[in-house]
Amino acid sequence: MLGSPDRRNSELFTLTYGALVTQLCKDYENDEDVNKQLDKMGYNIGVRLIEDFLARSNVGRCHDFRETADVIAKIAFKMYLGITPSITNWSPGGDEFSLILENNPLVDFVELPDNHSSLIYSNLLCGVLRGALEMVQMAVDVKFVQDTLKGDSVTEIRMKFIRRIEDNLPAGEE
Amino acid sequence: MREGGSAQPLAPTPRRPPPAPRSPCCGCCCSQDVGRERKLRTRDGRKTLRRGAGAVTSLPPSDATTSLPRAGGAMAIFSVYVVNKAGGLIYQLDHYAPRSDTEKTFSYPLDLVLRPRDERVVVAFGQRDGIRVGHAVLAINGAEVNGRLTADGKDVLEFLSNPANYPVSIRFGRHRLSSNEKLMLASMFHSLFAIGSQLSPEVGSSGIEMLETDTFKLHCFQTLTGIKFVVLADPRQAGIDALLRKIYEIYSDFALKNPFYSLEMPIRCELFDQNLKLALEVAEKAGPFGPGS
Repeated sequence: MLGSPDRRNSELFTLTYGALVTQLCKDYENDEDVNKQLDKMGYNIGVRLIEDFLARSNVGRCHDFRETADVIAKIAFKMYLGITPSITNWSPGGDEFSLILENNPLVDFVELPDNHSSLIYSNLLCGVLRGALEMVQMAVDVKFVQDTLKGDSVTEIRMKFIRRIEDNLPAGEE
Repeated sequence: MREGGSAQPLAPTPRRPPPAPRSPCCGCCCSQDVGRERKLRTRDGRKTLRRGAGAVTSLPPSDATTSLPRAGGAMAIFSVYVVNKAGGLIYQLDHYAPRSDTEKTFSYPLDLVLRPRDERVVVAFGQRDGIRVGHAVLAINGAEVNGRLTADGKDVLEFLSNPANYPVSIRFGRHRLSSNEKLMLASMFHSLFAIGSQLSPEVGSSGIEMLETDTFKLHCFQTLTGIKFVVLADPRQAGIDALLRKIYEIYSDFALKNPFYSLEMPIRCELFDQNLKLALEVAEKAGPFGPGS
């Protein structure tokens, strides 16, 4: 496993992401701004990644938020990060849920220093999910509520469905 | 075969189609030697065509008839259009070679009746020798005409009514769509596509997936994000559904993963072009026995 091409690729990925975050920290000097930038960059990735995902996975349209959650956790995360988060903590209305990540490839080998306590290191992921779902007409709010980098036991991402985006619906989707 | 009195054929055009063409194969994409052999033989004149067909010995006798052109890569994909969410055309590729161009030299007076129509000069009467009614004047003396004006800016009809300009060589053919016309047709199709789902008696029907005419079939695939991939192909071509999915993959790779490409804008990515053409060639070669549609 050590030294295998997959491992080297994922380490390169971790290194690249780390370089990106540290450079942003130097450029912006303020954790909140860095978080916003990461979210924007993630959004940009998400709007493009969704087409790659749809082209390769052949999933059809999801008819409710539960299906969406399943597809995200079991197919999308698996395809792109090689992990399968678990889905928990459904709200009574069925419009909010949590993704629990046991391990997060972005934060292998990472420790957050004290002066960056409000930095959301993996905020890129939130942007990716938001951008991708917006392209399939779902407006969602995505945020980290627990982070192993900050001492929590697991990393938890909370996703909330806001509304269906009705303008520019593709034909046949009304 | 004797030509008509006033028109002299030029040196035989290498792209003259075989006698009963039902496909637009021009020979440029023929991968089989048999097809190429026939093409070479026609350069010497029409008579040798028949000799060429009969002289093929590598195939069993039943294939020596006109079924051969099919084997020579006759299945064709004519064009690919990509339409964005708002109905604007962001990519267009014409893959077929025009097969009905005819170029002839004429002497005064011209025995065809020409008249202006829209932005072009078309044949109104006097159909002969491959020049059909409705064909437009494409080039005069080798220089492409610009709508109703010649390459030098003179009016085509005036130019052709002056005996001093003869003998003149004129190329006729079906006019190609200009890019503005393609843009318009794409947005029209975008609206029509929606009608498909509105007319449906069932809820949640898709839009128009296929449009069929006697000369081509139009296949359309709309992604969940609203982008439409449209392929016009020969009616007998199979495997277009798989091709549409493949084009979607190529789009997600070479257009979207290019950081300098902005979403919803015209696609001007060299790699996208190249890979798309490769995919079309693979789909054409698979032919009617290819992977199921």
